Amino acid sequence: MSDTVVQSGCLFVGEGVTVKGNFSVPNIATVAGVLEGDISAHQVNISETGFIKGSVKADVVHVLGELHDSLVANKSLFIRSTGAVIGDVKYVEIEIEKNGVLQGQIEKINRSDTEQTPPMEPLTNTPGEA
Amino acid sequence: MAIFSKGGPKDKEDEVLDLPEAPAAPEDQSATNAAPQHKPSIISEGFSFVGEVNATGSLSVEGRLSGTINLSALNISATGSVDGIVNSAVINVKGKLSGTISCGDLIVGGRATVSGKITYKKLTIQKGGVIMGEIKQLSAN
Repeated sequence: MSDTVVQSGCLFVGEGVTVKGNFSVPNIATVAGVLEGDISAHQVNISETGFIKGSVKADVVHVLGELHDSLVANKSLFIRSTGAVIGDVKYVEIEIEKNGVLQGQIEKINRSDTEQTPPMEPLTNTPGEA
Repeated sequence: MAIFSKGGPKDKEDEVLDLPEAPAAPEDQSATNAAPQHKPSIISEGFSFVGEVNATGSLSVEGRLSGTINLSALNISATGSVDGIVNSAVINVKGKLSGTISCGDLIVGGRATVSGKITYKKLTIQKGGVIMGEIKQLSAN
């Protein structure tokens, strides 16, 4: 899905690996194992086998596994069909595939820091259909 | 125009000759009982309804509806808004929905807003859709 070519500033928790603690990841955190604790990152990807228990703060969050407790997605939250997010959730934009699970206290927030809010209207005036 | 007297089928035959349209097909509820095929009911744009709705069929809301709603399928179009206690097997939202919502399939469109206390079995949210409140999943099986 995501290119893990960029390694600088990234965290990868492999399947079968359990880590505990607080993590600050400037780039992408990919969790295929178990992570317990708080994590803040630019992007968090939770693989199908991944499990996070704790508080997650990120701009973009992709969930194919499970996320428990609390989540703040400052940009986008994607819950795929195998994914589950349970707990307090704050998001700016959300998308859930069918069978994705969302449970708890859900709140929509406005983009706070990064004020590059594009208009909701997608500009679909592509005159290429002549 | 033509007056159909229910008592006189013989009169009807005469009038059929005058009217090019098909004569009144029996649309009585008793007649449709045999086939459980329901046409969707519609609350059209500009129409506001407050009260209780109980139906086994489907309802499309383009206007406003509030109250206690029990249905098997609820469609809320972009102009529609529904508020209250809603129970429906399927809810498809393109407009606004709020209140205490209990459903099987909940589909939230890209410009829809759903808020309140929500219980669902299956949930789909398209990008841009908004969901707020206390959300709980019932086991899908």
